[in-house]
Amino acid sequence: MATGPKRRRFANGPPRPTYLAGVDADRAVMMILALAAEVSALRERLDTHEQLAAAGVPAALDSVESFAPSEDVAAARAAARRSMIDRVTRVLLEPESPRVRAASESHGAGDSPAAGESPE
Amino acid sequence: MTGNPVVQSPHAMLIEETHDERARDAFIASLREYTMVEIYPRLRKHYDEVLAPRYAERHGAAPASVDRVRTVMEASPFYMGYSLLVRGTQELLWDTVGEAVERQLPALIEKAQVLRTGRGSLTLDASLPLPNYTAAVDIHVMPGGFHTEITEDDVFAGALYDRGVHVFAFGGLGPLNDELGVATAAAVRQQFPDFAPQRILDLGCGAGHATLPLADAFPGAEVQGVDLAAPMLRYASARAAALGYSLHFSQQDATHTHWPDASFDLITSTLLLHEMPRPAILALFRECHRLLRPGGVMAHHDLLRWPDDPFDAFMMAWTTRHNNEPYERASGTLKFPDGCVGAGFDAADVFVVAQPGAYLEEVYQVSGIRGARKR
Repeated sequence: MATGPKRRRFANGPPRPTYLAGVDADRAVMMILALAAEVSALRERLDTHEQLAAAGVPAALDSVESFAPSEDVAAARAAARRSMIDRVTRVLLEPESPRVRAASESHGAGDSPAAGESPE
Repeated sequence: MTGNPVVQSPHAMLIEETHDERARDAFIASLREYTMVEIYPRLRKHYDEVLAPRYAERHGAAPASVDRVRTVMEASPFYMGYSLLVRGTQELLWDTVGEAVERQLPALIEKAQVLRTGRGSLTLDASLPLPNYTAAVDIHVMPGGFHTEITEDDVFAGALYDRGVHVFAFGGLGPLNDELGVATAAAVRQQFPDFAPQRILDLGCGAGHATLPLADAFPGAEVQGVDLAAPMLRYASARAAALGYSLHFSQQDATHTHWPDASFDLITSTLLLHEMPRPAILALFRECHRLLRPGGVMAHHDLLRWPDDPFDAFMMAWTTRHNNEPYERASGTLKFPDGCVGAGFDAADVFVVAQPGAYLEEVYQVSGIRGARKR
């Protein structure tokens, strides 16, 4: 832990807007986001170990820190991050919440509200 | 999907990161790219195909104003989830990069002290008052904004922004974060092929990302950069020296500088106007007119216009509500030629150069360079 001057960790300005059912839900999502960054970093560290092992290099701290991924490895990692983000955020980015779908069905909208609304 | 911000060109002032810090940055860059490139278009499609027609069914027509779009969007869990994700990513970005900067801040300060004695100059003014519009809000939700000093001879904000904006743009500003500055210089050359400015001033220069390209575009010219924020200027000065440039940086308010009338041939700004309230923008134009020599040019890279479409206008204002950028609309809706004429320029001498391929064109479809030449 750094012993020097400490940075500010929250911005001056208006309060953070509320997004979900309440500020605590928002805070929990933001913590999950930070945790997802940790999982992603851990996964890349594991990949670095595997790359070093494949090259016959012992995975000592120095070798891990100085590892420079090839273009192919970097591209594979980017694809893995994208897939993980897609899985982690699926529910948060659902086009219609189950509550909205239920309401629209009970009003006899006459169509299939879930159909054609998939993000793909 | 690139999401690979590790392509940033190293220089002596750029922070060094551990394996895991680089990996966290890469994750955040991927999140930014995912939300801007993949999710934003889906949101637009969902609005066009589901939300607007549903509204029209009830009200007879699609939402015709920004306020009506807001009502529709803020009731949409998709939009609220998207907004939380983008806001959460922004806070995570600064805190993640900030941790790496904080860890090596004493060493960065020492490096800056050595580097900036070698080339160019740095003039700070601790008595310069910070305008309320800057003091009241940390823009981009960057804790401390550009101006806060957390220690003596501080470069924290500069180091944070240099790495942070690169991750934010998922590398889209180029390896030296300078593509907008390169575009500004190119627009001036394109507009005025025979123009050879001897003295150049970059307003709101920040870390100097757009200042260095001016020296490249006009070799031999003297280049000055001004900013309100001392930590940015200390960093900019050291970064310029580290990259081999001899530029001059000073802490001044761009709306009233210390220089006498007719001091410059070219005055530029990049992504500055949209962080300023309207009266300050107009004061800045007047200051440009005062500082320019006859035949001199001012050129500002920013939003060119505010979208007419209510959905686009609503989304353009997203940064106002969610990213601490309260004045975005003030510059976006500014009648630029009127502002120039009010500052003393002739309406016939106003020019616009659109940059359709510019950074994040999916979202910022209307950015480019606007300016005027003084008679």
